[in-house]
Amino acid sequence: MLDPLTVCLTVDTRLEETYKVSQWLHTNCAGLSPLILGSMELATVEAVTNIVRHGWQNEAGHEIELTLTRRLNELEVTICDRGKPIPREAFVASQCALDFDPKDVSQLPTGGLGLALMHTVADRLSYESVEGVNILRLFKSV
Amino acid sequence: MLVEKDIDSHTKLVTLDTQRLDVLNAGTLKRQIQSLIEETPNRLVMDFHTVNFIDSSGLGVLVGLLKKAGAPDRLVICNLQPPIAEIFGMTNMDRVFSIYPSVDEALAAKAG
Repeated sequence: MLDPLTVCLTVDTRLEETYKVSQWLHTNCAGLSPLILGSMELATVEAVTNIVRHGWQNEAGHEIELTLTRRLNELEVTICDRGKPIPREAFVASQCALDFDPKDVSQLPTGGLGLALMHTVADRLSYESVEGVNILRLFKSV
Repeated sequence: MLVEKDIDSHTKLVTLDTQRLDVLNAGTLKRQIQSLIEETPNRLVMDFHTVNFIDSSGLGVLVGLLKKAGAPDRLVICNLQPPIAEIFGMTNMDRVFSIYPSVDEALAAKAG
């Protein structure tokens, strides 16, 4: 259990910034279970990667704002950007992307797993796009 | 990115020389392992003990390599750190790949 805390980080729309995001989470969640931290790190990195690749088509020079809120029993990461929003149908469909037959190797997915991973490793999440600002919230119980 | 060791004429052990397998380096790993799959007649054992982060790009590349290998026992994974094993479990990838707790057990399984 960690003391309550809220910290912010702004990164550029470059894939190299995902490492900075990981370091930021580790610095501010030191002492947390590695399994919980690992899940939140993965969900957050996937979100940033998705914004860079699909929201901005790898165009650098735009801001992604992250806020980590530590509560006594929960972590929340909020990620805001002004890129192209995630289409609603893609967001919904991604919840089923990992429903595959593990024994049928030929049918296994090799791409498009980012959103599905976010849904899988976060306890819950929400997404909205309001007046050009996309807001993704990831939650994980601690 | 890889440290290679021939175990015998049919088996090669590769240790990932990186802490992260992600969107930045998954393509490099893909090219290197693809070459080894073509060169190695039977079995490639991948030691993951250095890896403490994997993302969807990393998982996707591993699945693609498994497809290229053709069968789970031709591309074997071992030594997953607990957070990585957790991700494999949450995504059902632990049912896709042959995964062993250690290099010794992965190599011994060949004889079994």
